[in-house]
Amino acid sequence: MTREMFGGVFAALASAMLIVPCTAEAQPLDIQVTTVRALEEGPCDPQLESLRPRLRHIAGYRAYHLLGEQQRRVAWRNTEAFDLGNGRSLVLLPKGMVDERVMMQVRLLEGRKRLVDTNVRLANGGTMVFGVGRDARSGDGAILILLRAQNSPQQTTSSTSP
Amino acid sequence: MTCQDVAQLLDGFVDTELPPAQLLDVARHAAICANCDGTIRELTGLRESVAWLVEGEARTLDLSGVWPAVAATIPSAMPRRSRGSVVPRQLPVWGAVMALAASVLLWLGTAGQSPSHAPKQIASVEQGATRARAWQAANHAVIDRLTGKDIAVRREPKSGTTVIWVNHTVEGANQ
Repeated sequence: MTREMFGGVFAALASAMLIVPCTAEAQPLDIQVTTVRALEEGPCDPQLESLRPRLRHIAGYRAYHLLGEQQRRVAWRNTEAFDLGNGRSLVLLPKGMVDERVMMQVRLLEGRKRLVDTNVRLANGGTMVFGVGRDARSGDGAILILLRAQNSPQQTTSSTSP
Repeated sequence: MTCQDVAQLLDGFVDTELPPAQLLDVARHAAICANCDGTIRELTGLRESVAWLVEGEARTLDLSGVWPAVAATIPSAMPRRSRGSVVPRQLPVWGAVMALAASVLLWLGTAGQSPSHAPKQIASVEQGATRARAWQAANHAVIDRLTGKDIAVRREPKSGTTVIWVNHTVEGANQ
C-alpha cells in the first residue's frame, strides 16, 4: 500500500467521523428544567404527587412544591441560561451527541458564584438532578433542579422521569 | 513498688520497653533493693552475652554464594519481560491500520442507526424489570468533570438517577 493510498483511507475515515455526529446534532435539543422546593412537612403539590415517591428516594423529604418549569428548544454549542429564582441560574452549553448521550457543560450559579461546574453525558431523554441544600437526614429543606435533555423528540415515544 | 512487682516488669525494664514512669519506678526500687538490683544486673549480663554470641555466629556465616545464586536466576526471567516490549515493534503497520478501520466501521455501523430505534425497542418491551433497567440507564449521567465546593454525587439506587448535591444554605426553606 503506497503512502498516497494511506492518505486517502485516512481522509475518508476522518470525513466519515465528522459527518456522522453532524447528522445526529442536526436535530434540535429540547431542554426541560424543573425547579422544586423540598420540605420535611406540609402538603405536596398535586402536579408532583406522581413524582413524590421518586423524589423522596432522591432527597428524602416528604413535601414538594413546584417552583418553576421551563422548556426550551436550544441550539447546539450555544450557551443557554435558565433563571431558577433567588439569584440562581442554570447555564447549559450543549456540545454534542456521543453514543446516544447528550454531552453538555452545566453550571449552577448563585449570582456570579459557581456552585457546580460540570461536564456530563446524559442519556437522550434522561433526567438528572441537582440538589441545593442538605438531604433530609441533616437539613431542613432543599431545592431540587431536574434537568432533562432530549434530542429529536418528534421520533421518541417514551419519556423518562427521575 | 515491691520486689514482686519488679520481678514481673524485669524483662520490659532490661529491654527498655516499659513506659518512662514505670522505668523510673523500677530503677528507684533497684537503687534501694540490693536483691532486685542484682537480678537486673544478672539479666542484663545474660542478654549481652546472648547478643555477643549471636553476633559472632552471624559473622561466621558465608554469604558470598547468595548473590551469584540470585544472579543465575535472572537470565531466565529476562526473555519473558522483553517479549512484551518486542511485540508492538514487530506488529506490522497495515495490521494497525486494519484494526483502526475495523473499529471505525463498527462505530459507523452503530452510530449511523436512526436515533428513534432504541427508544422504540424499550417501549415495546413490557416486562417491568427491563423497563426498570432502561430507566436506570436513561437517568444515569456520566460525569466527565465536576468542580464546586461541598458537592457530592449520588445515584438513586432504584431509578439510577444521578444527583449532584450542593451542601449549601437554602434561603427560605421553611417558608
